[in-house]
Amino acid sequence: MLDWLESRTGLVSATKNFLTEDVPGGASYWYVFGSATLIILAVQIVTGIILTFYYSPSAITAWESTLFIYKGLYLGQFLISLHYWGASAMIVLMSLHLLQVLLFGAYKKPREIQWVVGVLLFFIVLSMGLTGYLLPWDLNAYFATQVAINIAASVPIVGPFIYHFLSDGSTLGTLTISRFYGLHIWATPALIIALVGLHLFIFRHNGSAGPAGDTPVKTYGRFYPNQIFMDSMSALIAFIIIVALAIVMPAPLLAKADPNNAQFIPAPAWYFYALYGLLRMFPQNLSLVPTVILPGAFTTVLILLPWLDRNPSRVAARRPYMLTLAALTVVVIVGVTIYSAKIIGAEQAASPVGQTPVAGYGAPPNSAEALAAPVVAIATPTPAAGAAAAPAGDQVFAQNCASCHQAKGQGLPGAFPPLAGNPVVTGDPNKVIKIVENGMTGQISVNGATFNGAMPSWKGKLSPAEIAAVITYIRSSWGNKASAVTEAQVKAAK
Amino acid sequence: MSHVPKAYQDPGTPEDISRRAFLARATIFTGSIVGLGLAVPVITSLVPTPELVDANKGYSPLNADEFSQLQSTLDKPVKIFFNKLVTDGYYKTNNEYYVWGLKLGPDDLTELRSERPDLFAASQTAIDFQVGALGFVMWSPLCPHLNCKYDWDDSLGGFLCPCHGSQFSKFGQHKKDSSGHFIGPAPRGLDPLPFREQSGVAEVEWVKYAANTPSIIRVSYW
Repeated sequence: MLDWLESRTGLVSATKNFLTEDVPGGASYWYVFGSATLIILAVQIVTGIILTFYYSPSAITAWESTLFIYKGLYLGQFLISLHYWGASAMIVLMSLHLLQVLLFGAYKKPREIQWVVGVLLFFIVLSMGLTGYLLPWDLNAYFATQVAINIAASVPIVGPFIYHFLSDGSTLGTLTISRFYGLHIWATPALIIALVGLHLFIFRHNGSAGPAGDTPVKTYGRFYPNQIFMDSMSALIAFIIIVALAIVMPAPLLAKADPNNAQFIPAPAWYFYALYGLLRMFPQNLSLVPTVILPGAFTTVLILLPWLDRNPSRVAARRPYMLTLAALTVVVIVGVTIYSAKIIGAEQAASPVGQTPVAGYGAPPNSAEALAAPVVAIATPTPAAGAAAAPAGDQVFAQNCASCHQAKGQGLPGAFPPLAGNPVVTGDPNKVIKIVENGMTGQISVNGATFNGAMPSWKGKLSPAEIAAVITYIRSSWGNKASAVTEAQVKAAK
Repeated sequence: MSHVPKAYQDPGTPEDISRRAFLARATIFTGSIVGLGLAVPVITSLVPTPELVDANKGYSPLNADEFSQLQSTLDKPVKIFFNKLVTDGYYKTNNEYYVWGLKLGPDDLTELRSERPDLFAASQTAIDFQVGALGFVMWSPLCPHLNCKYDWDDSLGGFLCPCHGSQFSKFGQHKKDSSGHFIGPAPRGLDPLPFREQSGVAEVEWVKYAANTPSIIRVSYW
């Protein structure tokens, strides 16, 4: 059977040839990070492909289809969380791989080009984190991407061009989503796969760098099965970690993106915390330093490292300056990351508007179920011809109201009153209709507590049917029990 | 390939060989765990949930004007529209559909029974409602062949499907020509939809039946 295949394809000898490779100095767990990254890349590709079966890139469907992945699929939340944590795992494993190569001096002659390709891959994978971040189209996706695009726009000369290229227009919207989708699903993965192929091709050309020594090694280990066993064990551990995270802390999905939400505080992905922290450390008139100059200098130095570091030795003890510099860089990046995490945590705690997810880690159980229920609401028993289908009150609420009044209608102390247990909500329907239609400003008092936030007018933004549906929903949820409000009542209340 | 890398030139001790055999199997085992761990959510997520399959279950009210027109039309079927909020995955739209309604005269129920014994047979499990019970039959507007939309043809005095020419009587019976051959390729007669009266409103359920099967099989709901 194998002979038959071999004589027709040459695949058997090619596989043997691929697996038969010397590992200078013997197999080692030091060498596992690159291949573990490759396995997680495969996990990202597989989960990503399945996500495209359901995801729909447009401003009116991106969030809805993402929520559908959470609620409408078997293991959908697990699948999307695997992809979410897989991204983090790739960045961690790539960083470890890069540090190992740095520590072992493996970027030196003749592996300079292999290093450059690796560094390019690192930044391209980071860009995947950026383009993928927008796709769920929740509050955080929207506002964090807005910040990222605006930073790109602040680059001198080419900034406006980059801005228009990324957003494909003047504002973030449907065209931005489909552009990021194209980049995230087609362009960047194609580039990554091509560069990974190149990286591996050059790797085989040069052979494994082996231990960090200056004299040729005398002993050799086998790639198959010794090194590949260690590689697969490490990949398994990485996989188990992302599976565990996907189960324990599933990816959070916030309320749908709402450009009018002025209170929401976005946070970047944790691997951009260091950049975010830099941004906060510099005054506004020096903002180019953290956004362009420092990251640009860092990238340039990293790419040119094999030529900047002229020390021919690979032994750690003979490279004190290089390794001290590398260690300092790591300490600074980790330090600024922690600093940013603290700032972001504190600011979000002070203004938690919209931070309660509707699905995933931290979502109240009821909000998820309310949204999960298939909406077949034919509320009005009018025998009239072609009774118009009622919009779903829970969805109108999640998309327009939950960012201030919160997913379970519990409100926000000081700013936005609770709707649950609020006598105004369950009282005269006409009063509720007027508040929703005309908005409300100034201090109000509910159940003894005062609130100062402003409510916008929803007239013209929501149809009378939607207003009726959402009022019916808030009057009958979270323990509230009051009569339904019809579209006719809303129209009559003018 | 003639070149053998250095590490592979000496097979080593029997212990080395045995150890490598173990490592090779262990690698396949760990690889299988990752593969399986990935395959389970991937494959399960591709199976539609019962909620999704039955998302459009439920009755919809018929257009009242058209239904009252049916009540005064005895000789032929009437097209009656209805609106339905359709769940299309995560997307909900209000779509307009129609059925062919037939009002049964005094002797029509007997005629229906004789023309369409399949609808009343004890072995009929797809039809779990009494066809013609309230004096009306609502025909699904789709030809049971390949789900084209047939139309009423006054000159034929029956339904005609434009796609492949199947003809049906007003009782949904697949018509035969003078030599006793079925006209057109339809595998069965027309399919009735569940029909009920709720608080004075006539309602139908938009059931999806399997196309091109000799017997009526419920698939889901449109």
